[in-house]
Amino acid sequence: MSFTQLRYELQLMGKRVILTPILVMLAYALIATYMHYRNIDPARFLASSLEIILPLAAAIIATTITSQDAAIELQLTVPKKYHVTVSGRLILIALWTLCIALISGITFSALHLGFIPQQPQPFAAPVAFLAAQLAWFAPLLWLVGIGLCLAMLIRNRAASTAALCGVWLLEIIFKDYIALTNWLHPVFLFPTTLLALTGTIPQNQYDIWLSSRLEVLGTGLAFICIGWLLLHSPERLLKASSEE
Amino acid sequence: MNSLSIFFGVTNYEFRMQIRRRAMWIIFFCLALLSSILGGPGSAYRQLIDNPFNLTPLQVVAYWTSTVNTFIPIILGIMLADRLARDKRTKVDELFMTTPGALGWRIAGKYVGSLLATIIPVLLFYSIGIGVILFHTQNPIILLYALETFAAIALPGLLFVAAFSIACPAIMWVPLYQFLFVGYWFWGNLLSPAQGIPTLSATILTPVGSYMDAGFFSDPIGRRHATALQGVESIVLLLAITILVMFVLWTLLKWQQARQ
Repeated sequence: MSFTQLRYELQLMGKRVILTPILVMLAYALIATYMHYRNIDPARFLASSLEIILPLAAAIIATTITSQDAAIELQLTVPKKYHVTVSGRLILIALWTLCIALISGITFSALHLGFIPQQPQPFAAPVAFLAAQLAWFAPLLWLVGIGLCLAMLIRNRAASTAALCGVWLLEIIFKDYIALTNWLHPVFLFPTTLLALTGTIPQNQYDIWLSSRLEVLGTGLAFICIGWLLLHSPERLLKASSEE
Repeated sequence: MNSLSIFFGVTNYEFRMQIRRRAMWIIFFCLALLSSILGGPGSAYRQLIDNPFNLTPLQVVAYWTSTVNTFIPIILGIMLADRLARDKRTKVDELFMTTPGALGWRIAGKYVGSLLATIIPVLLFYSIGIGVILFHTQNPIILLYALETFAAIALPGLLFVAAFSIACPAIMWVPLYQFLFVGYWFWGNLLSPAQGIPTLSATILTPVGSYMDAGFFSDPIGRRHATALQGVESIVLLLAITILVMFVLWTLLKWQQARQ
């Protein structure tokens, strides 16, 4: 994707795509400041912004952008394939969210507000840093992946967003059941914040946390692959646009 | 043209447009399926039969209504959020401006028609649980209880959510509204104040209906303690805000029309 095209895609998506994650983090910063002045530790609350809220925002934007294109008829007539265009847009959204999350995560750690589990025998610093980022990166990839699949399967912006939000809420409501059910660990999105896993935790708990993060990452990648394959038949979106 | 005939005409068409959206039915079907699987096979319904908290039949029905009202309004709110934006996208709002019908009646018709159509799958989903209770108790009064608890616990919140979902997209991007709405639902209804995060969930401004559940049906699980008066206050507040939001929408659209 050339620089001109990148700039053009950004203009098409609009400032709202760029501003949404920034505004989310600013709102969180304001509330965290309020909590700090009331002598309440805001670490867990801030962790929820990276693990639970930011991935949802990115996934809703990804679902919207995939399921609706005002120039879909035109897109189908040009030599460049639709799946390449949408993939470029999704990568832009994911990279932007990634930047915001990384900067925010580093800021939280610098302010001693990190909320990450550690094992009794810690990894070397670079590996520990990467493992800590899995707390938010895995659900981000998973939710964007499932958002992409839902958008292409349901082919309706409102309905695919509703399904995505339904999954997000069920993950929160049934957290205890999912945590206790081994076969559901590959879809256990938010254990760090919801189960309050922070500081040094027993090795077996840390192993479960780390393996579930890797499993979520794996299932997220699988959803992205399925979504990418579904993007190869954009003609379906033509019919969908008339159904809204 | 008679104002009432405009209202009924708009209601009729909005209802038919919304009820024919296949995607809406698919979502509610998936939700019914998920609720049957998560927590173990048939778990959501098994609790209604096992009755682990020794509830009276009325309280079991109220418990089911509260459970449904915990997450169904999210789906309803999101499915209604694109109704006003759709008029702009398809440019029919410009066409409406040239017609003699009053703007207020058109907004009211849109609200009532699309809400009624979206409530039908909600009621179908709700009646699965009611059917389970009815089958287990063999007591037809359950049907009356179902109507009573739905009207008291769920309906005020659904009216409240629908008003915001129709109105807010007039001033913001639909996906942004959907994201904020989901975040609000969790923050303002399900988040415990014990977490230290300032929240509306302990106030009577909670569309999830916990004050009505506790006030009228004395929620024996102890999720909330409230008097019947607080339940009434919660309903009145939710309905008053619903009317206020629709009035603000009407004023805003009128102002936008005058500027064109």
